[in-house]
Amino acid sequence: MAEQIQLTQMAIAYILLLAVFLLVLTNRLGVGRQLLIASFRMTVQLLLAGIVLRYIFGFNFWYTTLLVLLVMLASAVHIVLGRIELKVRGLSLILLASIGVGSGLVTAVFIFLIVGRFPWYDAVYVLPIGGMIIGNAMTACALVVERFTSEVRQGRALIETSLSLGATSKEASTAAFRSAYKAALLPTIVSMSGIGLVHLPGMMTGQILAGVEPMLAVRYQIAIIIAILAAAAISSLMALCLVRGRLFNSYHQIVMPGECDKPIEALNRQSS
Amino acid sequence: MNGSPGHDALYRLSKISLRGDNFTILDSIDLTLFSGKLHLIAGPSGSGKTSLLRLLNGMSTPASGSIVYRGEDLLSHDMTLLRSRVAMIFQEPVMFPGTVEHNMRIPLGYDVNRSIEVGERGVVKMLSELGLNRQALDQDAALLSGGEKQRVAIARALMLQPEVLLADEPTSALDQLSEQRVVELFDRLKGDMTLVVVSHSTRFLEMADRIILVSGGRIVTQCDSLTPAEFAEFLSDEGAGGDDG
Repeated sequence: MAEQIQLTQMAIAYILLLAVFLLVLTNRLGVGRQLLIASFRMTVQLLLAGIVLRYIFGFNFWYTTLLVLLVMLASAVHIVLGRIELKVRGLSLILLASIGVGSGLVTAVFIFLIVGRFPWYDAVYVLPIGGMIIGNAMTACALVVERFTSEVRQGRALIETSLSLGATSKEASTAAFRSAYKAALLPTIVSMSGIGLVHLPGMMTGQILAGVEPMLAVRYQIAIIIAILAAAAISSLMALCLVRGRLFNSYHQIVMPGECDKPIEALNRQSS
Repeated sequence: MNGSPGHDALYRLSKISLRGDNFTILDSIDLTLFSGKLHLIAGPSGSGKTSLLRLLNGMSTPASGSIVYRGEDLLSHDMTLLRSRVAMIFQEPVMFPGTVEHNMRIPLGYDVNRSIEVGERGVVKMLSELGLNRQALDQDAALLSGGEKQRVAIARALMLQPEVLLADEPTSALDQLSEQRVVELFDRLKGDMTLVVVSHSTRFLEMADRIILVSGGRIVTQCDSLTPAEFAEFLSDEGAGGDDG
């Protein structure tokens, strides 16, 4: 069993956080406010999650598990929406569909086929795994949408040159599409390369600290890494295709939100 | 080239309007463009010249009115096929990353242009018509001067062998000799190709078959000829700055 962490020991962890905060403040690094807010949110959110999980684990009904997963999904969509500068029409639905399909499919494969958990809605298994998968799909979608919209906005002149010479919107946006997809998957790919050599991932560390045999922890970790990669890959590709459908119309014209009605001379001046 | 000779109406624009957030970009434009002719569009900055050009190859769609191309609503055409036939050169040419040859060949790789075959000799001939030599093919396009980029952009559009060429200020960055080459090339092309050129250059005025003067989003004059003095007077009255070439 894992060692208990007493409140006094937790306080030491927070002293470490305070030291980081002082370091940031004294060196005027400009991230003090974000650090403070993020630390506060992390503490409150995890405490709430702990209370809710204890409550949910006690119930263990299929609908409570599903409800928590849906709350996680909705929160993921909300967080990504807050990160995207360009307000693409229908973006919340695009994210809901992309993160939902990608993480839903992969979580189902993981629970039913890889670990073969019975009953499938066992909250102790489904919620941590589902949360991890949804969280990674969320990050990938945020990266892919942000990168693609900014690439299209900044590279508008080049894309319009391609379109004016007969390219379809897909052909004209290929470079932006590839760049965005690469940006979405790069964190997961880099993390995979360093696993075992540079760092032991959180889930595996947690399991080993909790007394699980290392090789069993490794098997779980490999399965979860593949699941994370698959969810990120599926969700971000789906989000990318759907967002591209919003930035171009059926006439292969760019329809950038908030810019489409401006005179083209003004747009040319912006892009040049 | 693919264009057919003769001087039939190729485009008919009726009551075209294009609107911005709180203003009108183009207002009640009625315009006919003829096959094989060179049309010169001139007017002050912000008068809607570029917007008008963009409507002709479907890069923008009007808020109201109709554009008929070859007897059919322009929007009913396959847009990629239309833009392969109606190529456009922007005022500030943009180069794709890579060499000049790569830039010339990129459009030929688009699905709609796959049937167009241009060998190396064709590429070299096209560039030489515009005063660029064979060595230019291997140069990094990003390092070209503004005038060279403009000429590569013209050559790149002409590689598609279009029936209509829309050129937005095609000689604005060119020296006199290069401008003369472009003007002579356009003069040779007209007849087989329909040209729509936005420019304040009197060289284009001399060879234009139709002159369209635009101001404040409206066509103020359409005629077959205009003297350089009349042209200069219009540009001066409208604050367009006169001859840019």
